[in-house]
Amino acid sequence: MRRFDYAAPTQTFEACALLADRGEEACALAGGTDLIIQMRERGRAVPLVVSLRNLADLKGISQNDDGSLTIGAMATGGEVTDSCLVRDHALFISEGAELLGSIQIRNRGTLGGNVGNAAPSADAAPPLVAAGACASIVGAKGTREAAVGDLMTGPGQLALGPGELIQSFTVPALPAHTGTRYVRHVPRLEMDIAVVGIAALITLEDDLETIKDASVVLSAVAPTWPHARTAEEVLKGQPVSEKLLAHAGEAAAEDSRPISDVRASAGYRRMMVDVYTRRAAATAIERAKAAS
Amino acid sequence: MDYPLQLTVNGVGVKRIIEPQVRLLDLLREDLGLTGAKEGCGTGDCGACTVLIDGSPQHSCLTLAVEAEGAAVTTVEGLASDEKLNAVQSAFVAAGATQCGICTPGFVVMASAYLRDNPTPTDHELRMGIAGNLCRCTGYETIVTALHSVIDGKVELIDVAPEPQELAPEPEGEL
Repeated sequence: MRRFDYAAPTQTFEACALLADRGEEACALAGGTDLIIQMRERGRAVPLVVSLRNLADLKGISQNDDGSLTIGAMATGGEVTDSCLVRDHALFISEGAELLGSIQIRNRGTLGGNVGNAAPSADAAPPLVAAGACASIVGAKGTREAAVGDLMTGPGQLALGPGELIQSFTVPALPAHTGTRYVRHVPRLEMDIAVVGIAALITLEDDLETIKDASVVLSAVAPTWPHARTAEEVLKGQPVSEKLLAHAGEAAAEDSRPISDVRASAGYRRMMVDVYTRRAAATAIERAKAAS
Repeated sequence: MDYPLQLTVNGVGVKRIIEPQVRLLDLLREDLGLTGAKEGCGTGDCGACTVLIDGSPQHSCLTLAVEAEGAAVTTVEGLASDEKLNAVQSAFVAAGATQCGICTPGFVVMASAYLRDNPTPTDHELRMGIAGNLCRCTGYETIVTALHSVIDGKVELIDVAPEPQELAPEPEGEL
């Protein structure tokens, strides 16, 4: 690894100032499970590493008075996986986090890092997008809010200004009769990267038979984590049936923009979007009924 | 620029002035001479470098030593008590759960932490618990057998060798 300077400030404004000051030369270090590899294996030069480990306001998971849930950007994959607050609030956020690497990786890697690394195949980020989570972004000029779904602009690209850091994610209270599911297709159960990932959030009407609202977000089949808008429209307002889920799967496959790479061909990915959208939506519906 | 670092390793206080690019694995192996943790892949895939940081199993190859400031680090060398190997170590010995041995310290540290937190896992849960550790000899069956004997409480703790072997003297001159 090339030599670099290191700072571990205890105040968020200091971290922002250091990052703003050094611009492209500086990079924030959360868990390091991506950054250290980029610096060692891929020769990425980072003259200044700014560690976020001492920033207390980036840590923790807490419920807010309005029923929303705030997850600190430095919450580790393991903390998000195991948190009863997260599991009770939106199970698929926990399910996505549980798929990050191995136990060892989840004990270092963070939710903020999974979003911040901006990999199209991220597992923990798509459920945040599907749940309509907002990122609280802190910078030299203060704090602003941005939808997690608007943050990623392309592979490895985030809509963050110089010196801006993700402080936390706030997941709104989900309506009654809502169920969620994150599921991915991988050749191996653990330590693998998604070929296709689907985050589904379904809200049922009081009759528990009709879909009131649906959110379907795709992983690893587009440059970002997009909503499958056509599939969502197919589902909304319709009574639950096998046929409906099949239509939604086909629509999601059309919505996806996969590439062919070492993990799978674009055609195979599109077929798997269809299959996994059906499965994710079916489980989300079951959970919405079970929770009611 | 060098950074001051204080942490404990296997209960012993360590103070160093180090460069930030030194990984925890480098500090353990090259500075402290604790060569139990191994560098397998160096990218967090194989788990051979697993150590406990404040009790939590993590990759020492992906952790900068400066990031372990103030932490209590436990390596495989620190798992045994003064008299006895721990249950996982003893079970590995009894079951012969080792082939070339490179992955063994990582498996032992990971499994010790996993079974501490999940004393009665199912077979599937157990296998997922050690899924972040690779054995290039593919010796998984004896490893899983050894861990089941821990879960079933059938392990007799093995004595630590009473006389520690003396280390060979440092070779003279350049290697």
